[in-house]
Amino acid sequence: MTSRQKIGEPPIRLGGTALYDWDYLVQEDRAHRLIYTDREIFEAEMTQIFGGTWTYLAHESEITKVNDFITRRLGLRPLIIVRDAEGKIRALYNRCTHRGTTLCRFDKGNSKSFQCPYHGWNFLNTGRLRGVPWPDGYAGDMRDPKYNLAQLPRVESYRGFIFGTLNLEALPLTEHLGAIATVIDEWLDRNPGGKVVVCEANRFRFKANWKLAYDNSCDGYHVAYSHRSLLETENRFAGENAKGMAYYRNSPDTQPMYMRYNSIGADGVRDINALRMRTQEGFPNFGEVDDIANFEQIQRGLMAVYMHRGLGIPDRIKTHDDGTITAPATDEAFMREHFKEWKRLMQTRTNLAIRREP
Amino acid sequence: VNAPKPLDPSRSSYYVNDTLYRELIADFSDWQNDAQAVTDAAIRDEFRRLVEREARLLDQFRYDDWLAMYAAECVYWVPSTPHSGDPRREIAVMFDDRRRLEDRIYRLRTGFAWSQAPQSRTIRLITNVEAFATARDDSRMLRSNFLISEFWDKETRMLTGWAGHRVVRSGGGWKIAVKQVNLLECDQAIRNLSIIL
Repeated sequence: MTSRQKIGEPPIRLGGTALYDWDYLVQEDRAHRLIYTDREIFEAEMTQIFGGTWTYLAHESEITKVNDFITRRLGLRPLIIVRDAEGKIRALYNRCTHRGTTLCRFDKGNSKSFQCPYHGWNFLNTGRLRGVPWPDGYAGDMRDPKYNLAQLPRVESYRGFIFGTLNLEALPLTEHLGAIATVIDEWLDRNPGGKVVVCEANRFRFKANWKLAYDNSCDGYHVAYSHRSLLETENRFAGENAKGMAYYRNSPDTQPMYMRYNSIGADGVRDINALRMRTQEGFPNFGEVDDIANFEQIQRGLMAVYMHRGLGIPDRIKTHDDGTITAPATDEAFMREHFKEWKRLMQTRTNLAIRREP
Repeated sequence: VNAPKPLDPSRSSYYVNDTLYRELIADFSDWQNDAQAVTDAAIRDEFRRLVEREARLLDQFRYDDWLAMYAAECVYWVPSTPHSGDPRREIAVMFDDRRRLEDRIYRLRTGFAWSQAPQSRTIRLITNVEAFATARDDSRMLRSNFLISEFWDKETRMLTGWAGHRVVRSGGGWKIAVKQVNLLECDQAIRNLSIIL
C-alpha cells in the first residue's frame, strides 16, 4: 500500500476559465508564436505534457544491478531513477523533504540510500526516510509518510525502455504506445535475443523552445536545404556507393521512406555494434549542428509557424486501420498531429499525483 | 573505370577495425608516466612547436596544411566520457578516420554548413606540453592543455580540455597518427560543436 498526494489543483492555472484561447493559438494550418515564447505556457507544459502523459526516462541497461541509480529529469523535475534493494524500478524526486536540497548530485552510481549533504537526512532507495540526525529535537513522529521522498506514481517499461507519468488515469504504457510499439519491436528484433545496452549518447543543447526539435523530428522537407552541406558531401563521389542520405537526391515525395530492418546473426553483432556507433556519430556532427543553428534562428524570428504542407491535397494523407498516418516525407502532417495532441493535453484536466511510501 | 583504388584511406574506412580499436585503447591507457617523460628540452620544444602549429593552422582554417600534419591512416577522436573510454562500447562526440575527416572539411567548405555560416572565429591557447616515450621507438605520446575561445553568433564561449596526440616518425619529422581531444564537458549536452577542435 502506498499513499498518494495530489499536486495542487491541476492543471494549475488552466482550471475554470481558460487562460488562453487554445483554438486560436493552434489552428489546423499554423501555430501562434506564443506557444514557443510564453513563460506561462511553458510552465503549464511542464505539468500537462511532462507529467500528464508518459515520458521516456531511462533504459534498464543503465541500472542493471540492485541499488544502481541514475539522475534524470522529467520536464524540470529532478529525479533519481533507482533499482531499489528489491529490484523494483522507481523514480524518486531528487529533493530532500526537509529543505528541498538536491539530494544526489551524481549522474549515476550504486547506493542503498541517499543522505542529504545539507543536514544529513537519510533516505532508503525506496524513498523512505531512514533517519535524521538528533531526532529528539522533533516533537512529531518523523515516521510520518510525508517525510518520505516523493516519487512518480507510475513507472512502466516497454522492452527495457523506462517511462514515467504523474497521471493516474493515463492508459497503460503499451496501450499508450499503440502502433509505434511495432516499430520499436522491429528495431530491437534486428538482433533476436540480443541485449540492448545504452552506450552513452550524443547530447545537444540549443537556445530555443523544446518543441522546435519535435517540429523537426519527422520533417523530410527541410533536409534538402538545411542539410545541403551533408548531401553534397555524401554525394561527392556519387555513383560509387549510394549512402543513406542519397535518398534526398531525388524528389523525396515520390518515394516511400518506410524502412524495414532485417535481423542480423550473432556473429556479426560485435563488428556491427562498433560500425553502427561510427555511423551514428555522422549525423550529429554533419547534420544536427546545422539544425540547431536553424532552431535558434527560428526562436529569434518567431511569428506564426506554418505547418500546412500537404494539407488539403486530396488522397495525399492516409489513415490506416491501426491508427498510423502516412504522408509523403516532406509533409507537415506529423507536426499537425503533434499539435493536435499537444492541444488536447494542454486542455485536459488531468488527475496528477505524486506518491510516497507509507 | 573510376572504381576507387583499394586501401585508399580517403575513400574507405578499411583500417577502422578491431586491431585499430585494440591498439588505440592500449596506446591511450596508462601512458602519462613520469618514468617515460621526455626531459630533453630541445625535443620537447620540437613537439611543442608541432602542437602550436596545429593550433595556428586550425585558427586560420588552413585545413589542407592541417591535414598534411596527419598520417595517412589517422584518427581524430573526441570521447564522450572523461578518461578516454572504449570507442567500441561508447559512442564518441566525434570519431573520424581520414575519410570522415576529409568529409568534415569538405562539408565546411560547401558554403551550406549553416552552423558555420558565418564561420566561427577561434583563438587557441595550447599549454603544458609534455612528451612521453612509448614501447615503440618511432612513436611518442604528447599531452597538452587547450583553451579555445570561439566567437560565434555574437558570443564568445570557451571550450577547454586536454589533448593526447600519438605521433609517429615520418621522414625527418613527425606525423600525427591519433589526436584524442578530451573536452571538459564531453559527457554533457553541448551547444553547436561545429568547429574542428
